[in-house]
Order: sequence, then structure tokens, then C-alpha cells
Amino acid sequence: MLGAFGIGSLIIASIGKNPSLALFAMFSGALGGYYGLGSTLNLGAVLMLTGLAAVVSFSAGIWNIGMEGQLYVGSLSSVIVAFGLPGIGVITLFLAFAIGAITGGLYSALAGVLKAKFKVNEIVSTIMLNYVALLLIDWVAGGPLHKAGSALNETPPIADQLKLPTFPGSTVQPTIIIAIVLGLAIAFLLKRTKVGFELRMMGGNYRAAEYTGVRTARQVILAMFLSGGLAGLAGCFLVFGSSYSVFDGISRSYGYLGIGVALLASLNPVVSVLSALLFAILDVGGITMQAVTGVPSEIAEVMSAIIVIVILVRPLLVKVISRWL
Amino acid sequence: MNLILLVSASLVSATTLIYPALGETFTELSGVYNIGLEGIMLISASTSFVATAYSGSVIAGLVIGIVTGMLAGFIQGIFAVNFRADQIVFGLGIILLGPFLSPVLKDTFALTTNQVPTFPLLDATNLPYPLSVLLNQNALTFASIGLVFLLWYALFKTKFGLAIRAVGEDPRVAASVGINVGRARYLCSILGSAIAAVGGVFVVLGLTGSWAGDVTAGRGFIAIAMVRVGLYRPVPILIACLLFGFVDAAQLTLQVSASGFPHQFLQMAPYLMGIVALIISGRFKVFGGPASLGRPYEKEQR
Repeated sequence: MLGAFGIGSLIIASIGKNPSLALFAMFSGALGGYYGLGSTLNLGAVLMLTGLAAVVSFSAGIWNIGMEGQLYVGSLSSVIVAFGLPGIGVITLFLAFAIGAITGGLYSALAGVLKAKFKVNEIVSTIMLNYVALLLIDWVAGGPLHKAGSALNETPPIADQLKLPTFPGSTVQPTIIIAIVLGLAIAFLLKRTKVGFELRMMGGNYRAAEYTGVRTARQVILAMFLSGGLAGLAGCFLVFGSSYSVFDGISRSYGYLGIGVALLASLNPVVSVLSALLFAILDVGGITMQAVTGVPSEIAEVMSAIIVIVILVRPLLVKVISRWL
Repeated sequence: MNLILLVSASLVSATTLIYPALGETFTELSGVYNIGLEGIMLISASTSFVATAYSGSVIAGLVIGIVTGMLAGFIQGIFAVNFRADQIVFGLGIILLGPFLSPVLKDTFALTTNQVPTFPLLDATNLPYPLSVLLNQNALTFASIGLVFLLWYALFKTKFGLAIRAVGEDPRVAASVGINVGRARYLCSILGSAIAAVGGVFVVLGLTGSWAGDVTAGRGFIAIAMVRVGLYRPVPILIACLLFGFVDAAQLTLQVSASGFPHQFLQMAPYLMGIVALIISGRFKVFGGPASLGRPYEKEQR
């Protein structure tokens, strides 16, 4: 953690800016003020879901890194529901979220089937499917669902009454509650149910799980479906909570950041809720940092990636420090 | 559509894959999993872009790109050998780092320019017709073909190659006959990443000549698929890359000629091909990779 901030500060200093000022701008932008805190919590909800998506699959030893594509597939199908049934308010919203999650899950399950039946490495296949999903979005938003008169490939906005409400006196959306509840549900699933036990067993030792009678092929597909469903729901949050339409770019790599969220939380679903908030602070604050100090906002994302790498060194650091003591 | 032009374009597209695929083969045969290939390519592409933008020299770009790759390989070696880290998690870190770090590097050090000079093409106009088009390539394309055979010889016909493959299959046996497992894995990480980096350099200094964000566009992952389908043997990998290059060049040509058809579906072809390649290699698995791939070597274990 501190290592990441340290390296981030070094990069900021190396391009001739004041790191403490930049980091101050980052945190005050993300946590201070009416809009900053709201955007941080709303983005936090999205990152919690992509993080949980990573937790579910990684716990089973399946490296689903296609959250980005699954997120976009979920956003696309949910916006189609919103256009098809604009009138019935909350029911449309529920339907859109459900369809978004299911399609995201099915898209991910495709990679699960490829892994279970054809031994296709899921890291490569999910990345390939990310590119396919983005091209699909670009086609739909520039063709069948193109917003008339727009020069960009984007869909028209959803109806006003379908935009997510906020808690009174704030810009915080109820998505954060859904995300936290899902975090607890995933914790329950992984720690307290037979399915969760089998998934974690596969993550520990795939062969052993197979020999003790776990139906691994089915569980791989199930884990991928759950994981993709969470990512698809994250896409719905983005469409109905912030972008209000679909185009290539509604997610600023939030699917990929989910990997960092899960790894920082050591694959613990409840801790993921907290680490998602940290990544949200980095992302939202990064934009403020760029506006205030001119430090490129990607620095925040570089820090996120460095966090992942620092996590790797952690066991070693513990070993070295305990040897000194 | 001109077939000779198409074949010439396929060679260019294949070059972007041959380097990372060879680099991955080198690294993986020693038992180190390099899933972060794409990130290494992208970061090297950005550093070579910056170096060329400053110096105006493509050679400087190539050298800096290779040095970047070697550095990445060295860090990978530290994690794989000394820290005995989970190589997949390390790779994920590199995959994440690539798309975030490369725009920072580019925007910080070469903010004003988006164009760089590219490697000069061989002037083959004096040669008879098909050759004059086919050989109108830059040095990196020719070198990639040469490298295929060089690596085939080094890895499969020399004692050095045997030692490396032994380390990848069973490091304990390799160590018992006096091979330094750690050193071999370091070497393969560094050299493999350096070779892969040339693929990233080729994308900017041989193909696009400009910077447009995610320039490598998943080619690192497609290269991993090529390694699997080519069964870790340089020559079959070359054939897979050439076939792939042909499909890629064909879809690019079709984008221009079939203007009514949505280009997005044509652009999907390379990625779907990558998945198909993996399905084929999973179905007809003759050699699934080194036995100790991805497993850290614990010296004290007996």
C-alpha cells in the first residue's frame, strides 16, 4: 500500500510536480465535497462488483480476467431492456438489472465451457472475449442503436425516470447497498455452503477436488457464470447510474481494476468492499489531481497496478521483517 | 484483391506475433509462465516510441525497447526465482500495468508528437515481380524469420537448449546434474522478454508509426495461443503465426473493399481465431508444455 503511494510519489516528482500536493488533491477530491464523496461511493459500488467477480472465480482457481467484456455485455443488454420497456419504472429497472447480470454471466460462462470442455486457457479466452465485446458495443452503438445525429458511436440516453435515484441530500446511489449485500452473500456462499466449499477446494488443488468427486467441469462453468453475472451487474450500475447510455468507454478499465480489488483483499469478499473503496478513491481522486495539479490521472491507475505487484512481495517482506525481529 | 500484396501484408502482421511467441516459448520452456506478455510488449512499445520521438532514430527506439523488455524480464526473474511468487498473479500485475503505464510514459516524455519515423523498407524494385512486392519489408520482419531458426537450433540442437528444457521439465533432476536452475530461469526470463519486446517495438516503429493508446491490441495474448497451437516448437509456431497473419491481413483488406459490411465483425476475426487456435491445441494435445511450468523451484525441498 504505502509502497504504491511511494512509487506513485516518485513518478509524480520525476515529472516535476509536487507529490504531496498531488496526493492531497487526490484525497480531497475523492472524499471532500458533495460530488466527490458521491462519485467515490458510486464508483466504489461498481468496483465492489467487479472485485467480487474476481474473488469468486479466483477462489476457484479460475483466472477470469474478462470482467471488462462481461461488464459491457451486461450494460448493452440492460440498455436494450430500458429502451424496450421504458414505461414501468422500477419494474423495468429490476428487469434490466436481472437481464444485464444474466447475459454478463452467460458471456462469461462461454469461457467457462471453453475451459471445462476444450481445456482453453481462460486468461487468454476471456481477454479475447473482451475485445470481441468492445467491438460488438461499437457496432451496436454505431449501427442498430445509434443515437440519431451523433458523430460518436453511442446509443441514445435512457428515459429520465429510469436513472437511478440518490439518497436525499447527497449524490449517493442505492447501488452501494446492493453491492455490500452482494459482498456478504458471496462471503456466505464461499464460506458456508457446499458449492462454495467445492469451489475453494478446486482453487486449492484442482486434481484433488476432482478425485473426491467434485464435478469440476460444472463448477468451473458455474463459477464463471456467477463471476460474469456480477461484472454484468456492474455494467448496469454504470449505465443507469452515470453514463445513461452505452458506448465504448463507459468503463475506465473498471473490469480490470476488479482484479486489483480482489488481490488486495486477499480474495476475501468482505474486505473487497473496503479495497474497492480505496481503488475508487484513487480513480475519482486521480481526475481531481489532474485538474488541480496537471499530473496525469493515469498515475492513479499505475498505483493500482503497483499495489497488485506489491501484494506479491508482501509474504517476502513479512519473512524478512520477522527474521530481523 | 491482389494476392501477392495480401501475402506481403500477412508477413507484416505475422511479425507482430512471431517475436512475442518466440519470447514466450523461450521463457516457458524454462518453466516460467509469462502471462504478462501483452503488458511487456505495450510498455516496450511506449518506451521505444518515446526514444525514437526524442532521437529521431529507430535504432535508438529498438535498443531502448529491448532494454525495457530485459528489465521487465529481470523483475520477472526476481519474482519467479527469488520470491517464488505466484507467476500468474505477477503476470496479472504486468497485464494491468501495461495499459496504465504506457500512456503515462508517452504523455510525460513525448507529449507533443504522435508520429515517429519507421524502419525503412527494403528496396526490392529491381527484383522480378512477385519478389519485388513480397520482399518489400523492413529489417525486423527478416530478422524474425531468422530468429525462428536460430532459436530452433539453440533450444533443440545444443546442450544449452537441452539444459533449459530440462529445467522446465524437472528442475530437481536438472539441478542434480549441475545446472543452475535459478540462473537458467533468470536468463530465459530476460532473453524471452527482450525478444517479446521487439514485437512491441515493431508495432510502433514498423507498423503504425504513431501512438494510439492500446497499440498492441491483445497481440500478446494471441501470441500465447500461437505458442500453444505450435506445441512450443519454433517452426510450427512460425507457421501458425503466418497463417494468423494471413487471416489478419485478409480482414484488413476486406474492411476497405467490403465497405457495406460492419467493420467491427471483421475486426473480431483475429480474436476469434485466437480462441479457435486454443480449442485446437486443447483438443489435440500432443505436448502440453513443460511439466514444471509455473511452479517455483524450492531448493531446500527434497
